[in-house]
Amino acid sequence: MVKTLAFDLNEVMVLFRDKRVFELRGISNRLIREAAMESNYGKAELGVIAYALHKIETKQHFVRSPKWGDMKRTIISALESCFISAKKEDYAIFLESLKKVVRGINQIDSELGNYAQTIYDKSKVKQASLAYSYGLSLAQAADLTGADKKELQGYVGFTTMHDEEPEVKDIAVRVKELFALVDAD
Amino acid sequence: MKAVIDTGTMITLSSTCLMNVFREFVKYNHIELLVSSSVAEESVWRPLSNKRFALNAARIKYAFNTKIVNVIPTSSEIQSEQQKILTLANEIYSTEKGGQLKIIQAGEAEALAIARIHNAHALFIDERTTRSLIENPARLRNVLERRQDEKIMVDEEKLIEFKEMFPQLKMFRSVDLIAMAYEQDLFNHELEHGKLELEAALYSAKFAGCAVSENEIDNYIKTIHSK
Repeated sequence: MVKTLAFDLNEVMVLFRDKRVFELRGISNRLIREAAMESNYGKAELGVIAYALHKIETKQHFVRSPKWGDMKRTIISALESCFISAKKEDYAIFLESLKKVVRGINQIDSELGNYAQTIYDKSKVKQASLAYSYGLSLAQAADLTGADKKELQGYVGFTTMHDEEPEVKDIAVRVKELFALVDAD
Repeated sequence: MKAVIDTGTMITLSSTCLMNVFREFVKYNHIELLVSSSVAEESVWRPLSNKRFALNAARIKYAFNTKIVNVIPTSSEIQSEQQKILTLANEIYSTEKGGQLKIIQAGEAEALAIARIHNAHALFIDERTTRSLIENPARLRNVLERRQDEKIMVDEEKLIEFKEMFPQLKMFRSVDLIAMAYEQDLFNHELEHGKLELEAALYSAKFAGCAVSENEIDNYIKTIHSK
C-alpha cells in the first residue's frame, strides 16, 4: 500500500530525532521510488530532505558543533509544522512548510559546512540519479527532485548505471547507421 | 542531412573539450544541426551566469554563433507538437499503484517535435530513456519493471501512435559521433589520430554522462586498427 505524506513525514521526523541514519537513507530511497512512479513532487522533496538529514547526521563536524542541538531542534520543529499541514491534506501549505525545513538544512550547511556546494544540492543530484535509474529521463529525474540537469548528467556518468543496462545497438552499429544517413544525402 | 541535438549531447562534447572535433564532424558531413531555443537557454544563456559552468556554456555559444548549430525559435507549431508528444509519451506506461508514468519532460518532447516538424533523420541524445522510447520501448518497459519492482502496463495503442510519429528517426549519442569522427580522420583538429586518443575520448564522454557501457567501448576499440 502506498503510504500517505503525513505518515512518511512522521517517519522522517522520528528517524531524524532518534539518529537512525541508515533508516533515514532507506526511507529516502523509498520516497524517491514512489515519487518517480506517481510523479509526486512533494514525496520527491521529502525524499531529498530525508537524504540530506541522513548525510548531516553522519558528519561529525556538524553533530559535534555546540550549535548542533539548537539547529536540530529548529529542523524538528519545522518538520512538525509540516506534519500538521500534511495531516490536514493541505498540499500547498505542506510544500511551503517543506521549504522551511530546507532553509533549516541550508542554514546548518552555511554555518557548519566546508564545501561551496550545499548538502541539500548534492542530495538533490544523488536522489535524482536514483530516479533516473528507475527509468525516468534525465530531464524528468532532474525536474522531479529539483536537481541541476548538468550536475545530474555528470554524476550519472561516474556511476555504473549505464554498465548495468546494455544498449540494443552498439557503437559500431550506430556508426554504420550514421554513415548510411550522411552518405544518402 | 538534418539532425536535432539535445542539451545533454552538447554538454558532453563541450565538457570533454571535443568541440573542435564536433565542429569538423558537422561541417565535413554537411549536417544541418538544429537545437530548440529552450536547449539554448538551458545549455548557454542560463549557465553563462554561473561561474562553475560558464566556460562550457561559452564553448556552446561559440558553436551557435558560428552557425555550427542552428537555434530554432519556439513557435506555436512547435509548442503544439511538443505538447502532443509529451502527453502521448507520458501515457504509454503505467502501474497499478501510481497510474501513468511521467517518464519524459518538456525539453525532450521539444527536441522530438523539432525533429518531426523539420523532417530530421537523426536525433543526437545522450540520455537513455527518450532513446529507448523511440528505439526499443520493450527494453524501457523491462528497465522500468525491474527497477521499480512493479508490474508495468503498456497502452499498445498509444505506443503505436507514438512510434508512427517517428518512422525514420535514428538515434545517436556523443560516443557514436566521436567514433565516426575518428573513422573519418577528423580528430586532427584537437587530437592525434590514434587508438589511445579514441579510447580516451570515448571514456571521457561516458564519464560526462553519455549512456554507454565500458563493454561497449572496449568491444568497439578492439575492432579499431591502430595507425
